[in-house]
Amino acid sequence: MTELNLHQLTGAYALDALDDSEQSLFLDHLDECESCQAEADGLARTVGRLADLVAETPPAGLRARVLEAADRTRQDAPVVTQLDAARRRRHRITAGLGGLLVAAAITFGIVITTDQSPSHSEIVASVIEAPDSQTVNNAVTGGGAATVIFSASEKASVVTLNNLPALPDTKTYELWLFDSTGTPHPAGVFVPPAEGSVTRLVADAESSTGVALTVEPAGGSDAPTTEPILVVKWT
Amino acid sequence: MSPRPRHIGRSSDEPVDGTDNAAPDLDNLLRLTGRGDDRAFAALYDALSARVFGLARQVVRDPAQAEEVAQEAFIDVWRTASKYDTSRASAATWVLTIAHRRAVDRVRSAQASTNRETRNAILDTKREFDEVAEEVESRIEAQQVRHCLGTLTELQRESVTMAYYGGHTYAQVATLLEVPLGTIKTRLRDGLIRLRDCLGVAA
Repeated sequence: MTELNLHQLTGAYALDALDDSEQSLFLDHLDECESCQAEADGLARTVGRLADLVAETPPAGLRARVLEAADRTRQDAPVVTQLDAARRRRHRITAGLGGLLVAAAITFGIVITTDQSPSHSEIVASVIEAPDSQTVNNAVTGGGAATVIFSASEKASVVTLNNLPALPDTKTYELWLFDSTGTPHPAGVFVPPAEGSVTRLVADAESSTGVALTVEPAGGSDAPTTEPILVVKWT
Repeated sequence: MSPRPRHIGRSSDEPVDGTDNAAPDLDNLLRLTGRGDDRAFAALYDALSARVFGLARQVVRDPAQAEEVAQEAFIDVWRTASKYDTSRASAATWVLTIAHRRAVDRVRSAQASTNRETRNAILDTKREFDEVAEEVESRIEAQQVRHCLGTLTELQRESVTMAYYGGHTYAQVATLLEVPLGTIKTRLRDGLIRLRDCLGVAA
């Protein structure tokens, strides 16, 4: 299959009309052809609309069967290092340190780990010791400091927040992770438990490009409502 | 910091129900599903089951198998929801892609012989489109797709619908329509591009 022909296959690909060998060849091609990937994405959105024409109410029993089957099916962890925290995330967890609530953005593979879990220290160590690790120290506006250690080879960033001042009950700190388009996604709300405390999170740096911290109304927000008191980008 | 758009990757292919205000935020439901929220998953099922099942029916034909395919697709969605990337696709696109692939896998593994194509396809492709044409389209988005399919050339429309609803490879479509491979590739791509532009899907 010549290069020329491969570009023409975006339509067939979007329609699932490639045979197995062409499919894998084309997937490889997509890795190197951003315009093809972009076109394929748009055509996939288009193709999905064709289902609108043939919608048909399924038999009544299907819903119960599907929900029941889901109940006994384990979900895959997000695209990140498999850790205890990732599996426990099915249920709301309150991490031991700092009352960090896992509120969002699992699609970014945020791993919220506590200083107590062994896997946390392993990751932190691997990031710090990576030959390409870079460290940024930033003051947090209004008090406190942040250290971000980023390693491209480990595909992770360790974000440590120190000495954040306490907030009134009506407010909370909220973390955000930026995606590749620069859009911030909620990454958890927390209350630093005491002066001088340390809050640390490990972020999947493959899907996120940076971190920000804002002060939000208690309970957190879907989107930042105040100017960030910290922004660190690693990509 | 850029303001967060409410729906990443969302385009005009998002479903518009009779009451716009009540249209569920499928991207959010899928995100929540990825975190194990079974109520969000149930709501996602309710919003998409007709399209998933209807699509399965078109491709695999047999109603019992269509149910199985629909169930498999939804379980795939449940299992892999944490991997959903809102910046690349809308939730509906993501789910329907899974559903279509499941359906296609089912028919291609079931009948490797060409009998399936020659016996069914020529009769069916016309039926696939015209039959649907007879139904009353009450949903806005279905009307829009019907209209936009109408802007394709007959040959483009024929190739696209045969490939999608028939679950055929483009090589099979080329054989059935007695048209060179290169021509089919181009028709599928051009046809979908035209459909995309008519629907106003972000390019």
